[in-house]
Amino acid sequence: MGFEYPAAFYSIVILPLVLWILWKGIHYTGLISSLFKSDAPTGVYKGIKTAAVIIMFMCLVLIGARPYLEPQATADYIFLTDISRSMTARNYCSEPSFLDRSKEVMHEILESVPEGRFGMFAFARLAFPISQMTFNHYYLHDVIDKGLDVGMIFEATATGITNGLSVVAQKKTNFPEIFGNVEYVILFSDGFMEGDWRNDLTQSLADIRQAGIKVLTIGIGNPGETPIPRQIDGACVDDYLQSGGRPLRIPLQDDLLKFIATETGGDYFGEGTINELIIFLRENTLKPAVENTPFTEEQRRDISDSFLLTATLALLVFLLL
Amino acid sequence: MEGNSGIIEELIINSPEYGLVIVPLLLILLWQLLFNKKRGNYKLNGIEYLRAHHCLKGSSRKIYRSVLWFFFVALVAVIWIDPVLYTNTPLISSENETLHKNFIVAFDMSPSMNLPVEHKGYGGEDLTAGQEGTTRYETAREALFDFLQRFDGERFGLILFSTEPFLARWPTTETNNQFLEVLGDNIRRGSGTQLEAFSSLTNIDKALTLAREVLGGEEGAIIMISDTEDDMENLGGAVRILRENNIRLYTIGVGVSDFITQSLDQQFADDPGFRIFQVDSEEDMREAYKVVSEVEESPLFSLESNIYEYNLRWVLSLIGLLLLTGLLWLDQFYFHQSTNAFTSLRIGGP
Repeated sequence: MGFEYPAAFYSIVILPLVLWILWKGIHYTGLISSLFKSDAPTGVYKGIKTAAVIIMFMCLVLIGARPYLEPQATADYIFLTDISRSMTARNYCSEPSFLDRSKEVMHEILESVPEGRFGMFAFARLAFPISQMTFNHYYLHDVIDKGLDVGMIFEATATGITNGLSVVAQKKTNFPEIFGNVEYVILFSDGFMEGDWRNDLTQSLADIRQAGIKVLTIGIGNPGETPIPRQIDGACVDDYLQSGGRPLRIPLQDDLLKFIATETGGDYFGEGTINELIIFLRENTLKPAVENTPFTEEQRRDISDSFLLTATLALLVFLLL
Repeated sequence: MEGNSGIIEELIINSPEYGLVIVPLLLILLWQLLFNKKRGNYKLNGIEYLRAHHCLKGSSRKIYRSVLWFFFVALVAVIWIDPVLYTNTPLISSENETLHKNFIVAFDMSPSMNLPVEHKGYGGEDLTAGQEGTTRYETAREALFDFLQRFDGERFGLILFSTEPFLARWPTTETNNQFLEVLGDNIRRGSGTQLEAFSSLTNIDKALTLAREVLGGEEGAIIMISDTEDDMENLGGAVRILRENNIRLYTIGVGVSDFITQSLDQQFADDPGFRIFQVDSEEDMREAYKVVSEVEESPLFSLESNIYEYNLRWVLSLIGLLLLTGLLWLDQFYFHQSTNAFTSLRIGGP
């Protein structure tokens, strides 16, 4: 349990005064009782009354100190998101694109692992971090909704998974104070990569392993191939991009994503098995939080209600006496 | 609840339904007042007899005591409803500010930013990885780090621009790492970084449009660092659009000519929301950021009124402590349950 305003505990200095007032009151009662030759209040009565006041007092002090509970465990994760052109694929403009579907999964993970610190990288041909590592999930939801788009980085025509993985590994090595605790990268992609990808991935997978990172891959796509609608002035139209006179269709290349996961000691998840991913994250990746972990208000659970309830019950007893 | 005058902007009640906690407490008070005929929970011989024969007149003390405890009960109910106060003036030290200044830093990533900072104009030898000397980009980056420290707590976004602009950071108040994960790389030839790969032509116009979109109608300031004279010559139209949107623009022109600087200065001589700085050295760069800082900190562009958020629960709890102590004092010394009987007997007996 932590306190946002521990200075409130200084108010405990009033407690002796309160106890003195109570003692005087009880003493006075005894005096009156003896004057009237009556039965003085019982010890139980005095004890309950004193306890009620002390409980009320201490609970108010605790509420004033703004008590909270922080998560006992946390972990650092990176969302590595494919923002190449193929991520705009969808059968109809009314459907969410692959990137929209990736965003949904990211939102779900953020909601389900509130104690996690996340950072975001995006890649097409080039790869960049697009957020800081942060516990502020409100901010991350904003970045996902407003700051993550296909084409946001120049030249979106290539799915540079190899480069993306290498950049993440390199950042962890070069900036250990920022990315040093990242052990899991969650990769969102359709895996659409041409050529001898097994060979192409060799170096980046070695980089990732060397950096001590495991990749959890999320396959975003449909069982069949999916066309890419054209965008005119930013609006989707039901006319599809073509390549060599034929519609350009994007398959979900899950064998590539499974390969990356296996080679790095991670795991592969489909869009339909996100619950399993969340269970995996919660059960296998969280570690005890170190002291002074910079959790935000989102991770902190205000527990003043329980003290307020106790104070109210004590007041109720006090008024009944 | 909103107030337009004074320091209170708004009062929000988070859990009004919890105010019902007052009901059982009030019922007990009423029971004590109206139905509990005992003068205390202990027997005083003869008192009931005297009371039954209307010999006691001290019941008013019981009313006072009930009224006093009613205040405390009401305070507890107010704590339960969890009020949050928004003010335009900081009242106590632990407030949360809900408004921040918005800054968008737009960094030119063209290869010419690799030229030594003291180099004037285009052409010349740019610096390669491992070569001694400080590039325009590195100088601008270092000065930016100082600027971020000076405006710690404000919201900063980062745009890197080359042939196309790219939003490298959605505006955030978390700037303690100074965007090192992005700007920590350099763009020197042969460095092999993503920034070097990104480094190409320059498109100031698109960068400013992106910055305006990111600000999304909110007022703010753009700090643009570029060395491209051609684009700057045509900057006038873009600046006007920004100014119409209440966005200030500070252009740090690295190695740009006197002609460009003077021309733009003249165009916007009457507008404090546009400045252009001619920078030819690290000192100039720091001076430019210093001026921008001073302008932004001046009353002209200070936030008209920030909004401060106070969760009143903890304040009321501490007030409750004092109230509890005071009430106990009165209860035990002036309106004591035994005193009712005692005083009544003394002053109200037959």
